[in-house]
Amino acid sequence: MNRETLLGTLVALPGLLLAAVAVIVVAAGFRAFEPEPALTLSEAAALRDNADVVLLIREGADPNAPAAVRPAVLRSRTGVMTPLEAAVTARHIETAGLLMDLGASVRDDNFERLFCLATRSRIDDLITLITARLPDHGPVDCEAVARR
Amino acid sequence: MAAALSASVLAIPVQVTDSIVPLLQAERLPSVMEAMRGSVGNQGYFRPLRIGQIQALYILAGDTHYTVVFKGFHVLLVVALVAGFVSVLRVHSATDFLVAVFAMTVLTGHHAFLGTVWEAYPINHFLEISVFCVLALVLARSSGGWWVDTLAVLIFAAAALTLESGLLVWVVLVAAWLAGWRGVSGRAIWVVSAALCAYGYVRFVYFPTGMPTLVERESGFWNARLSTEELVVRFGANPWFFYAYNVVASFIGVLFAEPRAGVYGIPLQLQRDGTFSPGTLVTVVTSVATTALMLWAAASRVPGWCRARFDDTGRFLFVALAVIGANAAISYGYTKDEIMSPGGLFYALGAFAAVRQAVHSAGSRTTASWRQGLLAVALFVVAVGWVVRDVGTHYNMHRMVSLVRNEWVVVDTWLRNEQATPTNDAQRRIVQVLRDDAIATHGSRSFLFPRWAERWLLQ
Repeated sequence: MNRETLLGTLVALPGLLLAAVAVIVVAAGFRAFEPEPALTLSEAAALRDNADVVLLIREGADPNAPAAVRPAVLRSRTGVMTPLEAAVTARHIETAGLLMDLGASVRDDNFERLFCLATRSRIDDLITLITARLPDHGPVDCEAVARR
Repeated sequence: MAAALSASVLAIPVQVTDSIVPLLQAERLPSVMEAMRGSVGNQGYFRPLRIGQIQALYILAGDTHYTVVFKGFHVLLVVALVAGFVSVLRVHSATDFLVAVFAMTVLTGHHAFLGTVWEAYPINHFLEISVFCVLALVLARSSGGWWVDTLAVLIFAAAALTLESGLLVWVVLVAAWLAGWRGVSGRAIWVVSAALCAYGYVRFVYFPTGMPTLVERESGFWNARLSTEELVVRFGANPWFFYAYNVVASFIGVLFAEPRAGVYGIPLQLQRDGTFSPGTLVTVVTSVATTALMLWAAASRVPGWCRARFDDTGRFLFVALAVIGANAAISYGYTKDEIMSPGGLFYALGAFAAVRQAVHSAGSRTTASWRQGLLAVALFVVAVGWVVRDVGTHYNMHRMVSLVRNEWVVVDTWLRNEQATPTNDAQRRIVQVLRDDAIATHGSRSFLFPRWAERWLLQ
């Protein structure tokens, strides 16, 4: 190999490597490189990924079912929560409203937890969104809820 | 690389902003001719083929295939651009091939390129103009003939009637002819020049279309984006300083990656964060180093250019500088990266010529070993930098997937705010079909991208 070709190879090497990687990625499809497990509805809600919220519910996900949330999405360790809890914890009003439109319910058995999560966010619109679903519910002691 | 770009283009759904309103307008019009006729009276812009193309693709899409047709057309343009780019390089040797690989990373990693692939309106006409420009250069480098001349005139007409920056095709043809690439004959150059004059007559006299004014859209200035109101307050009485700023900012922005869209990012980041991102550093350093190489290669040739003496490297550099300069001049009204995409394309062609020259020079036996070693290290580092920028193009495209999908979830609200709510069943079906297509696209999980990616790859 002469000097000119050697220099040219050095110039082209990063691009050739990139092209090789591109061929592999395109051949395998982008989704092949997504880590497992697949995104859960609660994760989509926590990430304000409203399109995935709609898609996952269309594909049969239960908008009221607790699901795993992997580390770094909301907290440093894996958690399990409902999509609505995830949206409220992440302070995404739009996503919480969307979940309610798509069947997520605020009931007596989850109202206190959602209300306290919303209160902790200090976002009035989020608190109003939750309380509007159960306007007749009595006052909530969030410290007591936290101790449970 | 074209396949990777095409795959990333296809991953992005047709976007809401800039796309859905033209499609709803297309539904109201009966034919392509009617769409073009209706567009010629617009104040400030003369783009009948732009509207005509949207109408034609809308008709081609039938009732349900909007995504396939519009994204398919976008991919066709990407493939045409890459094919034209490779064709212009005329790869004849191993060195040509190796440097062409580098030039390809410059093309797709350049910041002016991103705007041509990560969005559409619903056709990306900036990309289309780049394709016209590279095809014009392919013709200029051909062996000529009547069909080459005919194609050159047709390409100019199509480009000029699509966007104002289509006039750059004339610059490409004239600069290439002056530099000695005379596949397009002198007679055809006169015909295209006459067509340019006819364009001016039709635009400014026959249809008093005029030019865009300051109130058309916001623009960058120094380290801020100025709203149309702010532009009028600051430059309304004397806009020439603002126009001159835009021309200079556009020109040096292509060469040095600063400013971007009229805004100097480094002072802005320093003022805001006290530091700047490594991605900005990579972008600026690679551009400065590549431009320095181009200026070095051009410097020794400028005296020869004055006597109409050009070698192959000189021709590339001369045409590149002419197109970047003209592209900047045409951006006088406001500046943004995608308007400068033809400039970015010719920057990559200039980079090809300059790096090939550097490799030839350094590879000669008369060059000292320490100089060869230094240049080898420098070129390798710059090549790595361009690859980082290239990866950044794809990274930003996949961030766009997520953004566009989520826009479709709230499209009804957006249309209401824009006072563009569908008024009949056909328009509602367009929105429904596009929304379903967008949401059904499995988006890139941008939260799974590593955290360093944003600092290094965000453009």
